[in-house]
Amino acid sequence: MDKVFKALADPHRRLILDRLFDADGQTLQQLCRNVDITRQGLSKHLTVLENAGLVVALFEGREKHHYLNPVPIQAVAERWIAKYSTAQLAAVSALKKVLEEQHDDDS
Amino acid sequence: MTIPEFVYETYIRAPAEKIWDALTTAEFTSQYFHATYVESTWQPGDPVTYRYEPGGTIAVDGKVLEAEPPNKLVISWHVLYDDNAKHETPSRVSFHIDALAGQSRLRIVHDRFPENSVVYDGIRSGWPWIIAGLKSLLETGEPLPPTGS
Repeated sequence: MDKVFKALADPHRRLILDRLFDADGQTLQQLCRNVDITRQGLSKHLTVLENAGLVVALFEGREKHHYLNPVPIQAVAERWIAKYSTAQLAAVSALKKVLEEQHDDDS
Repeated sequence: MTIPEFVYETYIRAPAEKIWDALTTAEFTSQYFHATYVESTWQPGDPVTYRYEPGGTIAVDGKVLEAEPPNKLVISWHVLYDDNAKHETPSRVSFHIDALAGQSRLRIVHDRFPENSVVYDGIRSGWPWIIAGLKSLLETGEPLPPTGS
């Protein structure tokens, strides 16, 4: 998970993920046209994203296509956010209970 | 040139056979795959169904295109859960399972969508959640908690 956070910490890399969301499966050449950084820089960033599992590269013949893989981000969301949604549900149900009890008192 | 449309990948601390079972038996899919029950002989050419309950309404159906347990499963994907998608030509889902040291890599490729596919838009949010649920189930024995939404 450290790798995911490190990979996402860079604005260029987040931009690359946005561009892949717009059009998945782009080659380095295609990405170069859509992201304003040098080819070498782009290539390095893609390696970091691949190592973090955020980008999956597949070869189609000699062409390397890059795919956005959101599964690690989903894992991050579940690690932290799913907990809160459960807590929220508990809070809502507790609130409902309190309000209903008050209502019972009023009547 | 045909290139895959969506590629999802995760590493799961479980043997390939276990992941194969999780993909192909209702006992498992009912716990992580939108609570659906999968059914098939898993022989190429035979039908596949995902039902909301055993013997109940079909959410997705298709055909087994390739089956090489425990490493590769390819099925056609015909969505019935959305009325707007029912008449759409089926797309294709490929599951690739590779055993590595102490874990397995699961890669899901969803491709061959028809032009202006309704299914395509819904898929983006669906698979990551399913895959995360499968990983959680196999690694911890527990499915993910309901999202509460």
